[in-house]
Amino acid sequence: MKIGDWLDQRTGHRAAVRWALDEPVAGGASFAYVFGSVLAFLLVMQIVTGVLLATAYSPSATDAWASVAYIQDEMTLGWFVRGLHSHGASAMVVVAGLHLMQTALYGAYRAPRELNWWVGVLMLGVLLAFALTGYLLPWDQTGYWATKVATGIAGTTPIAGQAIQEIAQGGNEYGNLTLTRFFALHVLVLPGAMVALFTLHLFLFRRHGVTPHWWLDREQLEKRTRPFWPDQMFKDTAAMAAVFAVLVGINLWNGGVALDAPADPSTSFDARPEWYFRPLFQALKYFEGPMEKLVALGLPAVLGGFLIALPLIDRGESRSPRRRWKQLGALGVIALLMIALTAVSFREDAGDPRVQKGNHEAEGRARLSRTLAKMFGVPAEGGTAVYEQAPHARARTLWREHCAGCHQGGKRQGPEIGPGYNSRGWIRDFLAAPSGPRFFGPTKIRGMEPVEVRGEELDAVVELVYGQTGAPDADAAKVARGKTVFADECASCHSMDDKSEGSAPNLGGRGSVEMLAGFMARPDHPRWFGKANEMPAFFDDLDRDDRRALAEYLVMLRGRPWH
Amino acid sequence: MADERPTPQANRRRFLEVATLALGGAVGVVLSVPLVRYFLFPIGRKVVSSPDAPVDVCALSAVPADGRPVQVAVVSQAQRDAWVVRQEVAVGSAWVRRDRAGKVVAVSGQCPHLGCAIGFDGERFRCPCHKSSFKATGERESGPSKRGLDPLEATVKGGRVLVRFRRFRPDVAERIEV
Repeated sequence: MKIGDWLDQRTGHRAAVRWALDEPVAGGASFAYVFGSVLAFLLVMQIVTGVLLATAYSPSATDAWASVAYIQDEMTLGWFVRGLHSHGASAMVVVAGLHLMQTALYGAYRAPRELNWWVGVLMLGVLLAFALTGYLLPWDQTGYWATKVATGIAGTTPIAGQAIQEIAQGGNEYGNLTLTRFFALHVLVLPGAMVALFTLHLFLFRRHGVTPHWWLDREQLEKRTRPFWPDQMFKDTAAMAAVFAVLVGINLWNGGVALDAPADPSTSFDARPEWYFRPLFQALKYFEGPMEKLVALGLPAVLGGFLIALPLIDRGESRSPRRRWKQLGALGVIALLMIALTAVSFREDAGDPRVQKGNHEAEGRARLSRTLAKMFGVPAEGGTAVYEQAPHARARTLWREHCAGCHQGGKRQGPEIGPGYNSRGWIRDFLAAPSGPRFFGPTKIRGMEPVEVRGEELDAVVELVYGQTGAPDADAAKVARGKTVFADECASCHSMDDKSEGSAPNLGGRGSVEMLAGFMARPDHPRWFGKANEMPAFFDDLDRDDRRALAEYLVMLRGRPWH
Repeated sequence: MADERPTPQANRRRFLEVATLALGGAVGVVLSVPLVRYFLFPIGRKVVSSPDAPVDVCALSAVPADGRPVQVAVVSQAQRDAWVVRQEVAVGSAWVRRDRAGKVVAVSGQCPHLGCAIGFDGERFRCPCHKSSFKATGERESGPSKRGLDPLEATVKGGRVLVRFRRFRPDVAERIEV
């Protein structure tokens, strides 16, 4: 007995398959009817890619961003799977829109199919809820701030607004519970709802059959009837394949989707929602105050209400679009308006230098955080703690706070200290023009003349000073020669040991970690600048660890190119 | 004789059937390849790892002179677990003792059978899970374990005992590091 027969005896599967495939399509198979099947395919693809993402994603405020960065940057083709999932959502919105327009055009909401239309509208709502909940999950700057706007809007609902917002975000503020709730919705509740609605949708559809072309009469419809399999199924599959090809193409072209820097509640971030929510985003720009709140809730409500009302406001015998131009016209105008608003929104952003600058900075932050995460891992505190992984992270913060103002940039008040500080090039340039604009120029210190030695002797002196920093690559022979030159040319003012005080700074150990840490604390010490000093003493403001961190940072800068 | 050539309709139907299956199959295959590769990511990969270096486990004075083993926690300073890097994480346990010659030696606290944490009852090492037992030297005595306790590299530096923690494949006779 063949396996097919064995199975059929026990399950009766052949009858089920025949029921599924032998559906007669009145008026013949058509590309007009493919959108529903394409949506079903995309839904399956979303579920599969979603499950795969869920095997690596962690829905906690500490771990979420790091887990998505891990998927994106370290897991095999993680970027591709995530990109398919995100672009797949956009594809579903587009195809859902097409499906809606086609069924509306054909009058598929007319009796006896009103219920199926409403189930479809509900499914559209579930789709948008999917998109909204999914956008937050990476817990990056964009997802975090964009969703905050959305829950904020929900909070303006009259009477129950506060409660709704607190239920949605799991409390008084965004945090762990927000993410767990959104995750549960996105992965458990909404998929269940979608599958249930889809089953109902399919059942009702099969019960009444496809809504065929309005221009064919009963006789023509019958004559052109074809079976679902293979005629319609072929067109459905061709459409699925085409959509899939475009989706993969877009995914490859864009290298997946973006991941922003970790969510940072202390910053203000000009976030944008996904493109299909831009019509509302843009529309809200034209209203202020209480009108804005009204539109934020009212516009979606009115649109949803119109869709729901369609079967009731468009009743009659003929499905000819000419007889229904008012209702179809309204639908068309709404669609065009939404497309227009989306286009305007993107155009405005493209032409706004502030937005472009913000995007550029955001991209830089994203690149930095993702590189640090990949190289060093994210500390257990998660999210923004990743920045602490940068080498000299603490020193850089201290430098920006206490030192950069005087030692870098246009408003400098002291010698230029940055990449290349105490490199051979820096020392050479200093010796050539100690009071020049890059060194003591901005200060009142004028005591040192440009050094007159040249050639090998200059090289030797440079190497001697360079060696004082503790650089491991200082040339011992040159340093020895340098000591001789120093004795002739410099020793009249400068000492080079561990304690002498004089009219010029003692160059012993100059630029080493120990010297720099001590110098910062008391630059006015007689060993160094004494009464000529203009630099604040950081003995109180910076403790030993901070000074040491800064000193190590400055020694690291020595290895950077000096321009 | 009846005309057995397939009708144009039958040909057309056949074409559509084959084309549908081929197209659908192609989409399925193209979709599956990256998804399967993504799913198989963890195979052969050290997703959880900590630095190889020996870890300070206890003071030398804490190891009894009479050869009795003491249990120590092995705390790694930088455990990398997928995306996170954790400080001060206990990655395992070890038993440290002085051997006959007085040298400090260590064995892994993980039972070579199926990985439970073994205990010491005063005379021998015993595993609470499936009752494997080992001599105080780590040698296998009885029970389901296929080999003795896994030795770990122990060094003494500046009055402290350092142990290099390694993991080995469970339930095999050969000692294979994982």
